[in-house]
Amino acid sequence: MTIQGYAIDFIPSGRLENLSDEQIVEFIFERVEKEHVLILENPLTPSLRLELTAQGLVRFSKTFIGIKMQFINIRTEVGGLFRGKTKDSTLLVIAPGNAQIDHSEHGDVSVKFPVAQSIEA
Amino acid sequence: MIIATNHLLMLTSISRFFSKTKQASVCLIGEVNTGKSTLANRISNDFTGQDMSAVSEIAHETRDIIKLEHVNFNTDGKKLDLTLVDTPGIATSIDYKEFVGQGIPEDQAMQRAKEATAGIIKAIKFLEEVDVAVVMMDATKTPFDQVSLTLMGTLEMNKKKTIIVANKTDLPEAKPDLIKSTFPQHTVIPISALKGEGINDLYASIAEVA
Repeated sequence: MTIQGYAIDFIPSGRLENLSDEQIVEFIFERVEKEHVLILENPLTPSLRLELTAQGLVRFSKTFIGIKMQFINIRTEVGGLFRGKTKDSTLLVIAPGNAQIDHSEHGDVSVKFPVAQSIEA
Repeated sequence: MIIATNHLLMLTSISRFFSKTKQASVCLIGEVNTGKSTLANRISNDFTGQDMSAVSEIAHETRDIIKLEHVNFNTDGKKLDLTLVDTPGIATSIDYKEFVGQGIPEDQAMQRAKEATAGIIKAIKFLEEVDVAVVMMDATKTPFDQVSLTLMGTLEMNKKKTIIVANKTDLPEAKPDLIKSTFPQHTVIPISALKGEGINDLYASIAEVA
């Protein structure tokens, strides 16, 4: 059975740990160009995000118009000895450029795609 | 001939050394439609009496880096030989269909999008060369967009002198204080590039950091 359409990939930080910047860029575009939405546990460095922006535009065509990125801030309670304390972390969502990413004031993030393209997919 | 050229270069260097006019490049950078070209024209008009960039309601009107060299910047007794740089608005994606929706024929919309992508890539690479980055933000919007956060992070990592401009303060929905609280470690100057409000504060800030 072939499953077509958008996919969501959660990428744990360890997956990118031993990759060079160039390899990370390739890893991400290999998936985003296939209409995958990536949720990265590691939000990447600002310069790598800027490089992703540039590389997304280098790949610009009628069918690929770049990428969209959005942070998700997460606050988790720490257990054990430090019970009661909280730890802030950030996830990075990367989606194809035709997606619309909304970030509400409450912190939730939603990724939407144009209807016509969803049907085609 | 070579000796004459060397003498000329040496004389130029000596004259620059003794001149009190410091040279600096000031680059206006930021998201699309934050008012970079409006501000570039305001600065250019104040110091040279002429416009620098075309301005439009349609996004990506500036699709290439525009430089205005030897602007005699003179404020609060500080003189600068300024190179003013206006850059295309940074975006992570460009939907050419939006241009079509604004009445541009499809082939021209695609061409505009291609030129815009090339311009953004150039602007990103150009960041490495600037002395002072003036990051433009639209004070009527929240500053949590990926472009502003990524630009600020990159400039911080590269230790670039940076001034944040919270533009469009003439609009009632403007919240420059939200930008100030988001980037407390940076100088944030609220202005209206359109009306000229706050422009002298920006000039004082450029004079201070350049």
